Amino acid sequence: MKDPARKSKGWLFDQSLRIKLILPVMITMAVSLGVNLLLFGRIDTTVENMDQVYITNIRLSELESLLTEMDESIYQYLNIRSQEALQTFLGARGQFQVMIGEIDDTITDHPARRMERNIRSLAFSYLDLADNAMIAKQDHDVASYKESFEEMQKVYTYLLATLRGLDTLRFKANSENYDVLYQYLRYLEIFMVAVLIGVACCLMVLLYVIIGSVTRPLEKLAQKAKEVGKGNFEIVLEEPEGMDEVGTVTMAFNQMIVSINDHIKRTREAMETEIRLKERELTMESLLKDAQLRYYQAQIDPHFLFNTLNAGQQLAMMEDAERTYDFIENMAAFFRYRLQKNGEASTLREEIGLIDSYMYIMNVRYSNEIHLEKEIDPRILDFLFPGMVLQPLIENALRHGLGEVDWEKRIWFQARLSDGHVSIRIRDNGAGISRELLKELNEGSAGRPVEESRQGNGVGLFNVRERLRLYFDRTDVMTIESDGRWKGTQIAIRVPVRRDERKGDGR
Amino acid sequence: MGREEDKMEDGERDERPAKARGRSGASKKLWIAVGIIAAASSAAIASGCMLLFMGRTATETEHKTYAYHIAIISDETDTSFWADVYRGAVEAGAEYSAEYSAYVEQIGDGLEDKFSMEDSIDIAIYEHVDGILLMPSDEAKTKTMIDKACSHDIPVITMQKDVPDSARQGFVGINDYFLGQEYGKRVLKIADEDTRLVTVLFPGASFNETSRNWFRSGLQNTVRQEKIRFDFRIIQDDKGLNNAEDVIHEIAEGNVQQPDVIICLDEVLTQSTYQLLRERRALERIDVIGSYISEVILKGLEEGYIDSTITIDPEAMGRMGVDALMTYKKYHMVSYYTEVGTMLVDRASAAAYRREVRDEGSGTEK
Repeated sequence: MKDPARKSKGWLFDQSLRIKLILPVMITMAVSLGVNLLLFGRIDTTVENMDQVYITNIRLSELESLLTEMDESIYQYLNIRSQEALQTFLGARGQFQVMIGEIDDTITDHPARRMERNIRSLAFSYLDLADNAMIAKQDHDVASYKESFEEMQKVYTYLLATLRGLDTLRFKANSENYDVLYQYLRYLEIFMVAVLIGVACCLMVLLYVIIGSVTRPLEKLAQKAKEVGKGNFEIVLEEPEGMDEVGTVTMAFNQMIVSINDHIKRTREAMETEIRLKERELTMESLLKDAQLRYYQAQIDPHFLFNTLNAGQQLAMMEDAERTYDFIENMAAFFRYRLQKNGEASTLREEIGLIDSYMYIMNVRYSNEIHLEKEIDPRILDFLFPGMVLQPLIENALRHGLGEVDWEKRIWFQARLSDGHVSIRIRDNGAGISRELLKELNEGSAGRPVEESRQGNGVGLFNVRERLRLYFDRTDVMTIESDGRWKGTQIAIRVPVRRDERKGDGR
Repeated sequence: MGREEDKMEDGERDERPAKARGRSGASKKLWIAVGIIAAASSAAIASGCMLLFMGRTATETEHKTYAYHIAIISDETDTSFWADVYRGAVEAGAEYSAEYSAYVEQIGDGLEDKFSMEDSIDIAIYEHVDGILLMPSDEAKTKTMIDKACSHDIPVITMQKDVPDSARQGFVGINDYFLGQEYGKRVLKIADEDTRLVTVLFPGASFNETSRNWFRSGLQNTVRQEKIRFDFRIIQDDKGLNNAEDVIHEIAEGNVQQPDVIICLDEVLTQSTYQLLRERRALERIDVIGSYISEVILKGLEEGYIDSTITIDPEAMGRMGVDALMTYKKYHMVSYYTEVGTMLVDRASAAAYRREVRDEGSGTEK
């Protein structure tokens, strides 16, 4: 059943049920996990961007407070020469310079970085002016530090304005960012819902296909099993769809069905042979019954007949009528044989004995008109032979062949052994048979029991031939030959040798 | 037995096409499923990529970097004339090769406080810019600031109006004498026998006395007709509002002698004159020669309320200013005067100008 060339439907179909069921779930989980990770990663970066913006805003306000601190402290220092103010200024200045130094000095048209750079330049100018003012103050150069301070105040204003401008710009950018982010999140939400729905749909389709590939063969198998359960072994076998467990079960089931069918077929054949044998036996029996019936119809009560014949025999002995005694004895032997051998297998010796008895009776009846010439190979005498076959043929020759002839009536009986076959010929020089009738007789279409029953009490040719056929289990057992009207008839029987096993080797 | 096996095989062979059909049906389903999954995942990837790009915020977009930082300063930053000057300058700066590319920044852009021109120059100085393009107004104060900038080694180029006695490196524009000549030519062209009076409205902010004198000379030297008188009026700018309405009102109402021609020497004056005279339906008798071109002025030209307008090409002026500055940066010298040509737009050429601007506009948009 297993076909090595059987094309595999696909890798998936040959996997075990566990893999088939786990695989789609794993794929789907991986896909949705991947999509979610990607999207959340994206949200993270966007949020980080926003955080970054807020961080710079915080630095701006830091810068602004440092600047104010510096401005106040330098005013105080220049005014009252407060060392405390100087310390404050220097502290703030250091911090401020570091922060300013971090700003990128590249000239760009980026709106925010452009302003950052301006802040940087203005801040350095401010620091230079502040330094100049401090030096001038230390040198007591009043005019110079006043001038520097005035300039510083201007730059301070410009710086504050720029810082606030940048703040506003940042705020605007953040609002825009927020809008973008908000919109992005909205799209993301829709997208994720769509992805989840899509993934769910895909999973359903995949599960439908894969579970279908598992259950469909099972359903088919169940259907087939149900049919087999009802006794229908003539189902069309299903080829397994894949090499998974269901495939294996399907293949085993198929093999089982094939074996069962095989077994049934063999059993059926054995039964048919038996039936045929039985039928043959029955046919034989019925033919014998038919023959017997005819004799029963023809016979008188056998006890009465034998008693009567015994009485006649005793009477003939008493009267010394030797020939009458022989006649009655032959007659008794003839009838006894016929009554005894009711279809039982007999031997050729007994059959030939019956012919002798019959001929004796007939010659008494017809005053030795009939001459029987026998030529018998003594080796055949103990071979098995169906009873009541040869006598009816002699009777048939007497009745139909020699019944109406006015010349010397002769019958030749010949029994030989040749090539392991017993060959028996019964020939008469009687009326012969017309060609048409001969053909019918040889084909077996004539001489049926019904027709024969009208013609006498003998057993017909048909009956004889059938019994020979059944007994020897072959068809070419008997042929009837005749050269035509008034040319005599010959019946040739050729049957295989059958020995009586109980007697051993034919003796 | 052999015979029976043959039979069985025959039976199987007969069944095979049906099974093959069943199988192909099942694999078709599998392929459909695979196809759906593939399509869905590619759609997901595509829209995911779309989202990735969409998620880029404004702060992430790329910006150009430059070698020079140029400040451009004017008091009248809200006119379309100035917008054109500014655009021309920005474009010219960006067009230079990376080594000389200049970022032109309008001082005060993005600040909430409005700074005066002096403060703006001061800011530019303290921002250590590489050059200043200036459209001066008040000459005296501006001169000090120009000198301060130059003392900080920052080159200054004046545009449209010159501050001749300052330390500025160059001037780009048309001098007032030539401008007066241009207007004179137009007056001559539209004047007839009945033309008696020409009123000239000077914007006080951009025309100081020197400028006015030069303009007057140019105008009068060109017209040279005894029957035509000139009436020069200065419109004073007072914190963004001017007294133009009063002056024009007086003219329109006939409180003063009604002029035959009014010359308006800036965009705002031209527009207010047009609006006021149109409201009073006085234009039939007065020809207006305006300055510069705006949408309103073009409309006035098309409706016939404005006779013509004389303008220098603001974009070209912006460009030339940057060019002059960059020339100075390269060679440490630049010619003192770069002339920007003027053009006259009348009713006939207004449509053509409009079309030209529209083409340019759509061109730059692309």
